[in-house]
Amino acid sequence: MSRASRDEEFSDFVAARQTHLRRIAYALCGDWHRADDLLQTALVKLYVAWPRLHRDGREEAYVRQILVQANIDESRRPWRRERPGLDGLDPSARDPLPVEERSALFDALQSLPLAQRRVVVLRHWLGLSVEETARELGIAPGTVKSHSSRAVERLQAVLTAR
Amino acid sequence: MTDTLHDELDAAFGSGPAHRPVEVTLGAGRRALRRRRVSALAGAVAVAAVLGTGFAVSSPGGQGRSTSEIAADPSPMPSPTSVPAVDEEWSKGEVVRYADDGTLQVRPGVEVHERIENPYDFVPPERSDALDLTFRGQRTWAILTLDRAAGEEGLQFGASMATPSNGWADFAHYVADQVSVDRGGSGAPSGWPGTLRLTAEGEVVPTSGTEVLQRTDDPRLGDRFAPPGVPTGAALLRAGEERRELFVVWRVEGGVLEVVTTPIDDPSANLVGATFAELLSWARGQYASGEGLR
Repeated sequence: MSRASRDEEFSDFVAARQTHLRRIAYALCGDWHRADDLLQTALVKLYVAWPRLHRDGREEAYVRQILVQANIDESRRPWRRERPGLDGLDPSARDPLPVEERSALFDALQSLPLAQRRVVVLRHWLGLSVEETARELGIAPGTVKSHSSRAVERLQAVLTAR
Repeated sequence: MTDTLHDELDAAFGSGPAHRPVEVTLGAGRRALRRRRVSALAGAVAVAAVLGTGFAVSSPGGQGRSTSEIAADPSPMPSPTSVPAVDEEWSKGEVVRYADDGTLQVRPGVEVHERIENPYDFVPPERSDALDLTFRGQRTWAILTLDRAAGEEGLQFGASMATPSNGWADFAHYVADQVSVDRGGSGAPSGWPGTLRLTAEGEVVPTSGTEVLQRTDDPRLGDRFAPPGVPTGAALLRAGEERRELFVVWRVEGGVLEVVTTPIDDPSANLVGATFAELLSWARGQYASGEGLR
C-alpha cells in the first residue's frame, strides 16, 4: 500500500468517525483534553496497523478496544504527546473548551468505578451484547452482568430522581 | 430501561470542542511507523552482528552506544549557554528548531535547563536532542528529531513535548525511557530508588536501606487509584543514596506491586513540610480529580 493511499483512507476514516470515537473516550474519562489524548494515541496505533485492519474492516473496533482498555485514571507513558508547540502558543491551537452542559446522569456515570463505567459504555450505550462486552473487556460474562446490575441501579436512581 | 438508558446517555453530553487537525494525527502516525521500521532494522542489524558478518552500520541505533547504554548513561549536558537563543523570525508556537546546517536553535525567551545531545545516536545529517526547558512559565520536556523515514527522501522534523512528571525521577530518565520505548523496547528504569518490594506472602515491605517514617495500609485513595479489593498503601520514606524523603503510594494488582513516588522536598510541588495526614489528603484529592500523582 502506498503512503498516499494509506493517508487518504486513514484521513477519510478519521473525518467520519472521530466525533463518535472521541465521545466514547470522553464517556470513559470525563475530560475532553484527556479524551483527545486517548483518541490520538489510539489513532496513531491504528495508522501503523492500517493496511491489515482496513482490509479486515476492523478499524473502528480496534480503536474502540484501545480506548476502553486504556488505563484511564493513571498511566505512565501514554501521555507523551506529539504536538508541534507549547500549549496555547500553537497556531493550530484549538478553541477554548465550551461550557459543557454535563447532565447529572453523566456525572453519575463518571462517579462509577472504571470497570462499571466501561461496561455501561459498551453494553448500554454502544449496545454490545453481554458476550461481546465480556470479550472486549477480557472479563467473564457473569462479571459483565454484575457490573451492569450495580451500575444501572445507580444510574437509574439518578434518572428517577429528576 | 436499556433503551431509555441508551438514549439518556447519548443525550447526556455533547460532541466537545473542535478536533485536532487530521494532519497532526497523520504526522504522529508516520513517525510511529518510521520508528517501528527503524526498530525492525536495528533488530536485523543486531542479528547480523551476532553472526559476525561484518555488517556495515549506518542507521540510527547501529553505531555508538547501544540502547541499554543510553538508558544507563544519557550524558546530560546542563547547558543554558550551550544552545544560544537565535533572534530570527519565529513562527507562532515555534520554540526550538534545527537550522539548515543542522544547528539547534532556541527561541529567545526560552530557558534551557538541561540538554541531552543525540539521545537516539543518529548519524549526521540526522540529529536528535532532548531539552528540559521553560518558556513563558511553562516547564516542558521536549524531544526533537530530524531524521529520514525508511525508504523516503529528505529529513523530517519531529517534536514531542510533555509536561514534566513524577513518573520519572528526572529528565534524563524520562528521555532514556522514551528512547527505549520508541525503539520497541520495554522502557528504562524510572530512576526512583526501589523502596518497597512484595514478599512471597503478598506483603509489601521496605527494601534494604529504606527507612519507613510513617505508613498506612488503608490510605483510602479511591476507585480511581485502585478498584475495591486491591491492596493499597501509602508511606513516608527516607531512601536512596541521597536519603531523600519520598511520599509513596502503592497498589498490588495481579501479583504486581506498583509504586508511585513523589519527592516532598521539591519546592515546586508545595509539599515541603507537609504532614503525613496532609500528604494523604492531597493524594486523595489528586486521584478524585483524575489528575493522579504522576
